[in-house]
Amino acid sequence: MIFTERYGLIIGIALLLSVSISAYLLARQASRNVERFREDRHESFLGGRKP
Amino acid sequence: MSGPVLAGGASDKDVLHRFGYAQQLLRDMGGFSNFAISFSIISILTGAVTLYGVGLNAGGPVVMGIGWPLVTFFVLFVAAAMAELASAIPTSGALYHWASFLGGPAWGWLTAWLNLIGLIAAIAGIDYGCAQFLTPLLGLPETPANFTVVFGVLLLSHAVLNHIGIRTVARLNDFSAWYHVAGVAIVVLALAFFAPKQPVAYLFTKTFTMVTDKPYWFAFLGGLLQAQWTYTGYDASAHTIEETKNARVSAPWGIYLSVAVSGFFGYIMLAFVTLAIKDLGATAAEANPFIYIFEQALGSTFGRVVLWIVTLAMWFCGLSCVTSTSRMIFAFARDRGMPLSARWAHVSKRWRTPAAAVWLAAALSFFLPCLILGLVALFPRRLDFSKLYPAVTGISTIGLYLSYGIPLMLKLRAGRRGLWTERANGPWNLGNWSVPVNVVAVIWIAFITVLFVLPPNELTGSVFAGTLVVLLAFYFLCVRGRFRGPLRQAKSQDDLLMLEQELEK
Repeated sequence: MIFTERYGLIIGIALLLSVSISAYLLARQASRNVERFREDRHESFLGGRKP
Repeated sequence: MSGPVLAGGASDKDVLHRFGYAQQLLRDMGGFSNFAISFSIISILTGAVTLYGVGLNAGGPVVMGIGWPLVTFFVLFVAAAMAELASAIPTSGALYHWASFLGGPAWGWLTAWLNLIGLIAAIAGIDYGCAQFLTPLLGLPETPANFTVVFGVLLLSHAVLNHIGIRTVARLNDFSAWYHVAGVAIVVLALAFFAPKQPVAYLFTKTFTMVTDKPYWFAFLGGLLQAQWTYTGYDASAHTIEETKNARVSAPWGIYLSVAVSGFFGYIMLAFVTLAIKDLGATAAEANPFIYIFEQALGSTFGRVVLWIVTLAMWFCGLSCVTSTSRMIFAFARDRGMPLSARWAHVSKRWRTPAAAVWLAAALSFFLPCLILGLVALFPRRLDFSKLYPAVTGISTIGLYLSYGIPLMLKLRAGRRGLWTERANGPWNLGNWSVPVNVVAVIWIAFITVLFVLPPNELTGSVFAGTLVVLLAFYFLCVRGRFRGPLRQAKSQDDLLMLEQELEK
């Protein structure tokens, strides 16, 4: 309990930053790969191959 | 991996055909609707009100300030790992299909039943909980009979809406997503302007526990269940993937973003509610600490308003749960995985929905609390409904998370054996990050599965262990050798097109 009372604020802020950064990085990684997939396979997803 | 490897240039229907399935359901959902269905099932408003006391009593404000983001962090990994699989294998069977392709029919069958048990228990838990809130709000006496009648009416409304089409349900889910955001905004703004506030450090440093016989860290871990129980059901985006346009991209985003957005709004709401606590001991001692905080800070009228807001959120949550469960039943029955499969795999020509599966989902969910009420009536001295019912609904989370974990574990195994390569990935993939993300997700699921059955939830563990034994016995006695996993609906693409044309007549 004393540990949390002393370091809780630092842990909490570090954790919030970690969650935000990892959520953003995972989304960016997926987003880039979707784009790469689209370019590699000339795909529009909605209607099959791009003309 | 025995499923098809998807090359580029494929439309949603082409992709489904490669898995051997016809486009029987109406593909009409956009990306937002797909996100909305999972966001509605996670339902931060429902989770916050019904589970706030669990977290507060276990570890105090620190569970909200530190516990919620901690769980969110790991659940994001689970969601990202699931999103990858949804993109690679975009069928309504979802977890069951993923496990079948990656590990064979036995793993698929087990995953399907764990997922189904989890989903049915989730509908029962949400809708019976909604009935318990709604009955007094309607001015009716709070008796088991009244709860059951209201519960039945709620389920009926969900079944009818799901029967008459995904378009209606999708519109309601879209509204539900905005409703949840608006609900959180009302709660946060009311508390921000009118309630007294604790300093921000209170969220991160104030420890408190009602658990007297265990160390604080143990109690804190128990408090994490508040967030973990809230983060369930986001597989709905995968179950509705055959009804989603641009499925291989929209549905994975639906899974991932429903968790991320819930994490963000859930945290804001929990933070403001916790900072409005006046007397921590008195709040924790209340039956519903969340409502008590509002009544203390803003008066009983506003407390009642919040109750109405939450009750409607629960209704939306139940509606989406029925959609998700019915698609799972439909997909499993389509592969002849259930008794009377042909009936449950039937698709309504008029509405293009798995109508029979919708009604089966509603009926099984109604049966569950009735069964428990019946058992309690038979053995009133031995059984207590208030203890047994949370245990049974608690298995929904274990069932769901194990069904999430099995395909992720099998994917790691397939990757190690060289059976899952980059070519098998869908467009939504994490590339080099995939393996570490999957490893973290599987470890987290293993950890929380243990957490779910530790004291004071031993009864949940016993009920779940019993269920698992029955499932395994049933598999080895009746199913083994007969069930072959995903089945092609027709031999050729032309036959699949004919099946589709029959539905369109």
